[in-house]
Amino acid sequence: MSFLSTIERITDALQQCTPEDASSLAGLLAEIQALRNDWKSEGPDGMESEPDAALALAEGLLRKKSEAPGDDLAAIKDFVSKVRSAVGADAPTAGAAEDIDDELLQLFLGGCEEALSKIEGGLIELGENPGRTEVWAEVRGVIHTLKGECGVIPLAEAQEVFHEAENLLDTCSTQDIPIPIDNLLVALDWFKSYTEQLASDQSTQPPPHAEVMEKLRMTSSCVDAEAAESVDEGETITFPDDVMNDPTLPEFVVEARGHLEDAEAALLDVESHPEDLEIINRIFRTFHTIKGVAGFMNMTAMVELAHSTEALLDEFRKSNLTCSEEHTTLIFSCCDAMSSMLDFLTGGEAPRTSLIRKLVESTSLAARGEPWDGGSSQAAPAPVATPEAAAPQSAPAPAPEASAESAAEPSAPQPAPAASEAKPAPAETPKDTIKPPAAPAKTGLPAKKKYRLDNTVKVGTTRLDALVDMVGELVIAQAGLTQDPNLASVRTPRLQRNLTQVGKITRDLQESAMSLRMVTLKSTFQKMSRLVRDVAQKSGKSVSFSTLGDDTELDRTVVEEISDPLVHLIRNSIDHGLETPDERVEAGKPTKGSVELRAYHQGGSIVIEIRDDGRAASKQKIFKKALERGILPPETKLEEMPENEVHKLIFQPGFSTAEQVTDISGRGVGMDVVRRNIEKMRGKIDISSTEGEGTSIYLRLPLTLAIIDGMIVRCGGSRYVLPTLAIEMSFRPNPDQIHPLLTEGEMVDVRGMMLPVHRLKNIFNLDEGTDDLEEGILILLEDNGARINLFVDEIIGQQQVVIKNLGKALPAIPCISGGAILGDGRVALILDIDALLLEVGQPTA
Amino acid sequence: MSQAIETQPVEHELSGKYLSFMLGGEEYGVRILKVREIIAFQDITPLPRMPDYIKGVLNLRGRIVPVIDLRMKLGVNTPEITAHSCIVVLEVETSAEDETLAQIGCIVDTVSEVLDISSEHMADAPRFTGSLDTAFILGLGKLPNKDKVVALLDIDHILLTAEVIELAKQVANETPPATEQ
Repeated sequence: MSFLSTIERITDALQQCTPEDASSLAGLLAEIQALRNDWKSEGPDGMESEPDAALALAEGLLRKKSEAPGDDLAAIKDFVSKVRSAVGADAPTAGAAEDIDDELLQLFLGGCEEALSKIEGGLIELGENPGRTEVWAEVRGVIHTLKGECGVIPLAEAQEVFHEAENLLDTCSTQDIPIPIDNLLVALDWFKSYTEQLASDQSTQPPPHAEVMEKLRMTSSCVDAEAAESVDEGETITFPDDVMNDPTLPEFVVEARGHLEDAEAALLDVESHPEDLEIINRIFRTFHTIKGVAGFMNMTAMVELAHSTEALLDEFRKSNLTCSEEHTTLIFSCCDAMSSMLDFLTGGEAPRTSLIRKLVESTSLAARGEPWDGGSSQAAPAPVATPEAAAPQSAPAPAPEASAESAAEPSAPQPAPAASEAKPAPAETPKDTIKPPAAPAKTGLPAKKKYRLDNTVKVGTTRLDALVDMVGELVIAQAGLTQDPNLASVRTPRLQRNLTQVGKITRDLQESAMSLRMVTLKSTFQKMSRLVRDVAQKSGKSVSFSTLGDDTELDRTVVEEISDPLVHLIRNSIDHGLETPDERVEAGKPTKGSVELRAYHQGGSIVIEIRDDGRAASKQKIFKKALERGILPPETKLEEMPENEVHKLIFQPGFSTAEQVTDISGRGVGMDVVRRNIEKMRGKIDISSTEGEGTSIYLRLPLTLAIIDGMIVRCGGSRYVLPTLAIEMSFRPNPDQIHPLLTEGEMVDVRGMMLPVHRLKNIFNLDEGTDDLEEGILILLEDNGARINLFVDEIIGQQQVVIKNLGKALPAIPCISGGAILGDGRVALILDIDALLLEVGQPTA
Repeated sequence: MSQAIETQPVEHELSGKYLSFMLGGEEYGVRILKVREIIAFQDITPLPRMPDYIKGVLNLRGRIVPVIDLRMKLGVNTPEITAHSCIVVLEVETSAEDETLAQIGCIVDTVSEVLDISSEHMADAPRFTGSLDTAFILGLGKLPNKDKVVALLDIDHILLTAEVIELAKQVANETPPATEQ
């Protein structure tokens, strides 16, 4: 086996090797020599001359005699990978157990995250600085190692994908072509989802990888093709897959279309008033906006075009150029190209890359005041039209080389998309999307992609709110109508039927009005997983992030508001909560920390839970800090405080405003801000933490506009709504159940529990309502384990009510969570049970 | 800085149309643009533990709107609801940061008329010593032909959220929790 280990060592050495680094080259040379010595006994047949050639190359490198060090190094790498495949170092050994070894898999999965983020980081770096060979070498090395590991596990599919990725990287390097980063990232994403599946279920089947393979292969061949004939005329632009599946895409398309329409209208104005800068500004803004959003969605081709058009318009703005008719024609063509790209996004044909490229070039030439290809300014090119002078080479000579390059660059790494890439989109894409057969990469005209987008209308929230309000009123009016005594006396079947029908329609209407405002947490959670990756990378921790319940629906406003606090909490969890891999190993935990984000319904609210298995904050330290900061009175004893009360101190304002809280994992930085944000949404934040084992933070959020089931009670002349979920029972106590306490207080024996009686009348300082326990009724309220008996005059009934806020002009009122409009049109106040229990001094358990 | 200088500008910043209404025999005005609608007096759901002048909330076509008693707020004798009493629904700014307007209902004795007060008939708010609070008075409108003076209210500041929050806090502190046991 020494032969195999030698190969492994060479592979490792190669990863670190750069043509400039003599010491690593020397190490490499020594390993290759060792390999050659072992060659006769263990080396694969038919490759006898190879090790010598490699050795010669390495020697040349070391002595700096090589003319093309990069190529030579690549040749050595080729050699090594050839050897590897020949001796089967990469492939699972024949007859190996088909079952995946648990322990091995765990180890592998543990290391994967790091490897993946390394690749990802490297790829992004390469995207920015394509010339960095050492980054290239590292990425390739890591991919190679992963490929090897996948072979050992064995995960055949993953191995295939990595193999293809490796090939692609090699091709790009040897032919000096920019690496198609996006396609590799797609492969990474695929593998990521696979490992996530594996982590939970080892016998899982890998997600379909044909698409990924196709993409990689196609990219390789595309790149090949491109290298061969520079530009494939039929090549069409493509956008990253995730853009196609982006739920915000329809909105973007609609918006961008609107912008383009504006721009075109403005362009027509420009023709008659070429001097009017305001019109130019309007067009400029259009392209600027599109550029911004497209950039955000990684639509390179669109960004490039928007950018160069913008640059041209900027020249007009600065009055360096005057907008001539030719200019407007050119900008019109840009608008057309833009809209053809938008068409492509909504399932139309993909515009040619060459077309976009040409426009980019023409606009940048125009911006410099140089003549541009007049042919392009003659007719607005339609997406299907093949411009005669498509290749950039045909661009007029005055173009300096640099600009020609920069113009060509954007679309170069964008290969033609194959139809098979059309992943089923999350929610929007209807099931019946036709999946056209995979088209070979070089056909140029890919099968039409059908992304059917739901037509959307953008509606302002105020109008939406008004609608929901009105529907709410309709419900009330409808209830008032059906209960009208006059109508009740006319009991004809027809009236009855019509009333029922109206009732049904009203309910349906209410439901759909409500659903208009509900959105899932999916996109929020997705954003968080990106955040986790970034933060983990930055802080050098390895984190496995899982989410649960991202299809939980919440009111749109809550979903928007929740994002910031979540970002804060998750960043805290990773940055301060989780230990570094070394510390974790020391503490006997898996190297990979876990952060879990879960959303679920509990009671009448949504709970979002952020759980990590980090070191958690130390009680003593929090306590000490709180004393120092004067949050706790100086005589407080730690022993006397309930555990969760101590942890809750971190939510106190002032706990962490000044210096960074050292040692106690820094938790609490801005936690009071988080708490305030949550409380502003009528939510609640809670923490439970075990030192050394982890921390869970719970955000309890209301569904807001959601209807609640309420029990309507009367106390004096006012009616109040109690959320039914908080009510355990209601009863009128027997005299022998009541136990007077001290002078005024009373305890009531409920099924063996002695529970205090609180009169709503006294809590709210009302001067009406009964005091006699036998005249009114007791309602047993429960929240989070705490129970009290609330005494009210009577129960009026039970009904669903729409929670409404009491108007912005009022501050939050203690113990009142909102108002509800009852059937008679009057307002009843909704009691906040949680606050009520706190108010009467029942600590929640 | 004399008053003469302040009232001198051609267009006084306060000139314009005002809705005038009566509060205990005195006439007040609010900018007509602040007025959303005028509704008849109706049942108001009282809010517990709020300052006296906050009368409660009412249902304005499905929207809950808080109602204050302007007489109590301004300290103009004791309120009394008559057949002429009505609620002027105003749109006010709640804070400097939040630009959206909040609706608030104000109970007034009667609504009188819409006045067009020109610059030359404007006077700055007087300052009195003693308990009379003129902080909410923007200025005075003198109507020579009708021989009366209308106090123009700064309605945005009459119920500035900060102040109410302060009040609410006070109220909360005055009421020790769990008095029963």
